This record gives sequence, C-alpha cells and structure tokens, in this order.
Amino acid sequence: MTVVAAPRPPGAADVTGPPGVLAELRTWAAIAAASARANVAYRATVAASVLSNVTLTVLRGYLALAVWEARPGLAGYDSRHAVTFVVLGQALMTTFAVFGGMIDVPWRVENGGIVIDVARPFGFLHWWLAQELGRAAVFLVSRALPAGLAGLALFGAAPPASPTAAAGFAASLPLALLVSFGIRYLVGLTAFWITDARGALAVSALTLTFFSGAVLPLTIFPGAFGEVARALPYGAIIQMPMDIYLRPAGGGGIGEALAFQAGWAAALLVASDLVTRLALRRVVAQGG
Amino acid sequence: MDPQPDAADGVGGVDRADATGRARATRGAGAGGWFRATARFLRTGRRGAASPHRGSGRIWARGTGQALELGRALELGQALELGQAPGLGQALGLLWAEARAYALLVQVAFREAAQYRTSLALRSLTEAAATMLDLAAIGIIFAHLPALAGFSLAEVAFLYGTSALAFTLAEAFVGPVDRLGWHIREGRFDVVLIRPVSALVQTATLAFSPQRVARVIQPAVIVVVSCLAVPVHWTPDRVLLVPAMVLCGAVLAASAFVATAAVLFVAPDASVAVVASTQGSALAARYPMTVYGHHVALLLTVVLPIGFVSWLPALHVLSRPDPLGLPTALRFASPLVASAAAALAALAWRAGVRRYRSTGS
Repeated sequence: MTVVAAPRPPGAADVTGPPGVLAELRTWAAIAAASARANVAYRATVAASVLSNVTLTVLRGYLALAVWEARPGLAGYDSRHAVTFVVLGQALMTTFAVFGGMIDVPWRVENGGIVIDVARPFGFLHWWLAQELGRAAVFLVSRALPAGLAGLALFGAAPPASPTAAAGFAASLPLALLVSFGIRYLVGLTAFWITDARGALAVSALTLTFFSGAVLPLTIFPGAFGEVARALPYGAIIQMPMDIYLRPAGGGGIGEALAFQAGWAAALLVASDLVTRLALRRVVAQGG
Repeated sequence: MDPQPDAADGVGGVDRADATGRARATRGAGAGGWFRATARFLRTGRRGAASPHRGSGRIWARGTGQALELGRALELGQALELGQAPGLGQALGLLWAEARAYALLVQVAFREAAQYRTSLALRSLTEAAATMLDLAAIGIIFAHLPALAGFSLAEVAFLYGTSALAFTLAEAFVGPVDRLGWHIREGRFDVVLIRPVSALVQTATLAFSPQRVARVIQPAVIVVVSCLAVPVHWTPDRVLLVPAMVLCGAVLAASAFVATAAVLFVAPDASVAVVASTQGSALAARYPMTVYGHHVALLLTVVLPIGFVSWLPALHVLSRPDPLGLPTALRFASPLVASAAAALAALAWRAGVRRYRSTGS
C-alpha cells in the first residue's frame, strides 16, 4: 500500500494541549480516506483483482459442490449451504487479506522508511490500523461485492438464514477485520527482529488461508486437529462470519461466535500494542 | 575488475542489499558478484533486454562517465535489433550469457543466505512445513469421501504431487518476479533497465529467496510415494512421462508467473492479484479436472493450459479414459504447449517492458 501523506487536521498534533476526541477521530478518518484513495488509484489493479477473485470463487465453489454432492449433509450443511459458505468466504478473502501482507511494515523496515512512520505525530499502531480501515472499506466494495455477486449468480448462494443472522453477519465483519489485522500486523513486526520477513510472511499467508476456513470450512476438519483449528484466532476471520450467516433462525450461538471474535480481536490488539513498544525500541536510524 | 562507474556500483550494491534486506556485511559479496557480471558483459560488448529507455539510459551513463563502454554495448544491441536478425549462433550465445548471469546472481543469493546458516535452515524448514497444509486439505476431503470425482486418494495425490512439484519448481526459479510491482513503485526498475543483463533475469533474482527451494521437497516426496501407491503397470513410456510432465509443468507454471507479472507493468499495485491467480492455477491443477464441471474443465484445458500441467499426461500414466473426451494425442502435447506458453510469456514480458514508464515520485 502506498503510504500517502495524510492531510493533518488542525489540532491533531497540537503540542500545546491534548487533542480532543473529535480531532483524534478526524485524524483517523483522514488517514483512512487517504489510504482508501491510494487503493482506488490503480484502476487496472482493481480489475485484475476482481478477475482473479471470481476465478478462485468458481474453482472453490465447484470443489465444494463435488465434495458435498458425494457427502450431502457433511458438517450439517446441504450442498447449497456449503457452496454459499465457500463462495462468500472466498469473496471476503481479499477484504480480510487472507493472502497475508497488505501491511507495509516489513517493507518500510527494509528500506528505512520506518523511521518516518515512527516519527509521525500519531501512534504507530494507530497509523497502520487507520490505513487498514481505509483499505478494507475499498476492498469490501470493489472486491468482495463483485465476487459475492458473481458467486450468487453462478451458484445461487443462499441468503442469510434470518434477519438476526444478517445483523450478526454485519457485526462480525469489523471484528474479523480486527483479528486479521492483529495477526498480520504482528507478523509484520517480526521484521524488526529478523529483517528479511519474507519467510514469516509466506508461512503466515499459508496458515491464514488454511485455518481461516477459506479453503475448507473448519467444521469438516476431523478429530483433535479440527478442535485445535477451531480454537485458533484464524477462524474468526472467515469461519465465524459465515457460521453466523448460515445460522438457522432461533439456532442461537450468534452471540458466542461474536464473543469469540471480540475476544481474539482484543487479545491481538493488546499484544500488538505491547510488541509495538518492544519493536520501536529497536529502531536505529543509520546514516548513509 | 574493470574500472566501474562509481555511481552505478553504488546503486548496484545498495539495490541488492535493499532487495534482500540482508546485513551490510554481505553487501560486498553481493555487489562484487554483480560487478564481475557487469564487467563480463561489458567486455563481451552486449547488453540484455531490449530497453525502451535507451535514450535515458545513455544520458544516465554519460553522467556517470561510462558513456563509451555502455554506449558501445547499446549500439551493438541496437544493431541486433534494427539490422538483420541475429544468427542462430549469436542467439544461442545471448541465451547462454543470460543463463550464466542468472546462475551467478542465484549463487550470490545463496552465498548471502549462507552467512546465516541457522536462519536459512530454520526458514527452509518452516517453508517446507507450511506446504504440508496443501496436503492436509486433500487429507481432510478424503477423511470424508472414498473418492473425489471417481479418483482415489493415491490418484489425487499423484495429480497433486506432480502439479505442486511443477509449481514449486517454477516458484523457486522465477517466483521473485511477483515483486516487480514493488521495484517499479520504488523506482528501482529504472536501474534494472540500464544494466546489461536482461530485465527478466534481474527481476527473477533481485529478491531471490533460497529458502523457497525447500518447498520442492514435500511435493517431490508425494510424487514418489503416489507413484508407488497407484495401481499402474509401469511401462517405459509411463516412467518417462512422469519427469517429462513435471518439467513441462514447471515451464508452463514459470510462463504463467512471468506473463502475469508482466501485468504489473500496467498495474504495479496488482501483486496480490498476481499471487491469487498463480495460487488459483496451482489449486486448479491439484484436483481432477472433472471436479470443476464440464465447461470449466474444458476452459482449464483448452483455453488456459492448466490441464497440461498434470491432468492430461496423468490420464495416460494412470491409464484412464478422458472424461472430457479430448483426443488422446493431447496427453503427449505438454512439451509443445509449454513451448508455446513460454513464447507467449516472453512476448507479454517484452510488451510490458516497452510499456514501462518510470514512477512519478
């Protein structure tokens, strides 16, 4: 993501007095808006991304159909529900950056730009989170929506199981984003210790994709492996929103799913804050 | 070593160090290798890829006091391009020189990584372990089903192993081309274009990560295990077809990598899309094509050559009839298709380089 200099609203970094909540919010909005603008700047990118997203939607949709036609009722889904799960989950993948990355910390550490980020009159963690919010908003509209509509058209995906499910699904999306951000941000911060973070990034991309439920629903992971997979924070990213979406009326458990997401989001953000403090102590600006 | 332009040297050294993020202690080694390669190419009097920035390159070279040597190299390149087509010997010579430059730059990346052996070993291990997740997905499916679209676990494992081996090989060799978008955005591709080694060779080695090679291990093991597990009467043609299909598959996958990376010249921010599309092809090649339904399966074999990576040759190895009813000859067409794909990828890359405009900031 291109780092765009956010226009600093008056009072945001007022050294003479503590900034008000309103000014703080305005700063967040300005950074998110700048990040959003950077993400719509490349039209061809949006087109390429939508195309690849739809392709993956088709592949994963057919794979799910093949599995569920051979074993109807697996994990309590009929084939229509299974396809809905896979197709909408796939549509959300880019928004929640399940492919990993999208946070430029390692790159900024490599090229030294991190020194500028550290010196900003705005918290380091907050700066990246605000950018992420802007990016995700753009991706939700420009990637998830077209891929979701393509999935609906191709496979006739099911609508939300009930109005409660729809509301729960909407509430679960920001939480999923926070969990995804927390994981990717922490992985990005490893760059402060190991400089070449590409190995860590590649491994985290694979684990994110696999354990988020984007490849196969976590509910069909067998035995103890499945138990562990469902307890990991990754499930909060795709599995939980889709679980809520498909939860039948009066099925309950929506609150528990949201609590699972919120718990992990809080834990990851606290961890992110702590590790940020440790990481920033390691920054050395070398002349050159 | 020839007296090198100080500016160019500096840029070369810093560039490699930036791209790999490795400690400065190794920068000398990396830069040294680079200088030797540069010197060799300047002495042999030729340059790499056709550069649309010939003019700007020349001005830049003048600024660094390297006009004479680089100018001579560029003129020879122009003569090759504008005049009569180079003879076969000349063309092979160019290819050989690029291959040597590639080998040299990869060697440098390995030497850099070898400075921290424990780190390299650990990273290789984690990468190899992470590839197990792909295998786990197949395991999970077969934990619930006896067969997927009529194919047994051993047969799907064979499809997975051969295609994954092809894709991981391609990724190990040319994978770093997906960083092209970053190089362009950071303005480093300008430097790539004025160096006398092909832009493709440089892009494929600029962020070369030796630990990626470890990803080859798991699919290679799966190929061997699945070959032992499938109920196949191993005739010489079948035995020969297995390495041939992996090789052709690797060429196909590498072509896909390069061709999609060429999109980054138009849309430098599309790295994620490139990753997604290559992962998509790897995913598509992993399962029997019939899983995707008749139309998509045809699309994935006839229009996009993904079926030629493992599906069509595997049908011969596993002696199965083609559920799509395609001619049997296609099962042996992978070398032809791979050559055509490589040619198309080269064209796409060249078109991309021609379209390249430097970043504004």
